[in-house]
Amino acid sequence: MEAKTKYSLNDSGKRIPFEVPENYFEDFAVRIGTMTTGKQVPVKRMIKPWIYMAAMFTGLLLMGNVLLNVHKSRVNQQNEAYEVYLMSQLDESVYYDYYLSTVATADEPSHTDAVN
Amino acid sequence: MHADDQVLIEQLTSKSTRAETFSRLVRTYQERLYWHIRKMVMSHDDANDVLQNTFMKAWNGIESFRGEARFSSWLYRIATNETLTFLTNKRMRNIASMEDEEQILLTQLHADTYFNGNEAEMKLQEAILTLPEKQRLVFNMKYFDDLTYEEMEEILQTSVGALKASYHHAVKKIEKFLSVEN
Repeated sequence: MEAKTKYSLNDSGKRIPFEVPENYFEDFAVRIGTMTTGKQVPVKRMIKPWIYMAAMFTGLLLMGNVLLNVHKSRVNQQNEAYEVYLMSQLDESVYYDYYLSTVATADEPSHTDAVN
Repeated sequence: MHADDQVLIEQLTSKSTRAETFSRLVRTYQERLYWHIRKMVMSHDDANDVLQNTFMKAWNGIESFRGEARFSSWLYRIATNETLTFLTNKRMRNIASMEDEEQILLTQLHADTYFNGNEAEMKLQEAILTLPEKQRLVFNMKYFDDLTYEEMEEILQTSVGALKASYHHAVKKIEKFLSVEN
């Protein structure tokens, strides 16, 4: 016998021909309950770790900047002290000799001038 | 406003009873709304997503419920809007596809592991899928959910006359589809 292929609304009835997974509605109600009973993370708590992290990085940057400045001023101080030491070691005649030798070197024609 | 809804609003606006009352409402309406959505989107997974969005929208917008309509109608309206938005988005996602929306839903229906109907019921579902979206909504609400036209008017914000005409046309189209031998 051939299967019936013509139907009417009466043949189909009003039953909804779909199912849901087992315990679906029970689980769904629990899931919605979890989402609505304050177990959601408040925005304040959500951004708190980011605020802490940003504060930590800012602190580290500031501290690095301070340390760098301290280091720079220490190097400058050391250079100044060395210059003062050098000056103290030079007597006047040595200083003039050094000065005259540098002036004389500057007055000599350079190798490129001679070629031209 | 209905007396029950007045009590409901009071419970939902009070912080101490809000969550418990809402949980009770979820248990009361989840099945009805699920089937309302499922008949439109066909797939269980999609219906699950839309139902979840519906309740979350209701939870977040509880203050906007003023009691002009019944609470159940308000929920139905959110579910309907969410369903139509879902279908529009789905249509936009599949705009480049060669298949039209009806064909996609039909493929989903045939592949649905949760379909437990007979041949006549399958053919009815196929017939329903040939209807335009809004007509499908009206047919489902009247035929399967047995809602009155007045309830449907409150949910769909469409006049009773227009709803009656829409249902009448839907039934005609479906009967024609079912009577064709294939």
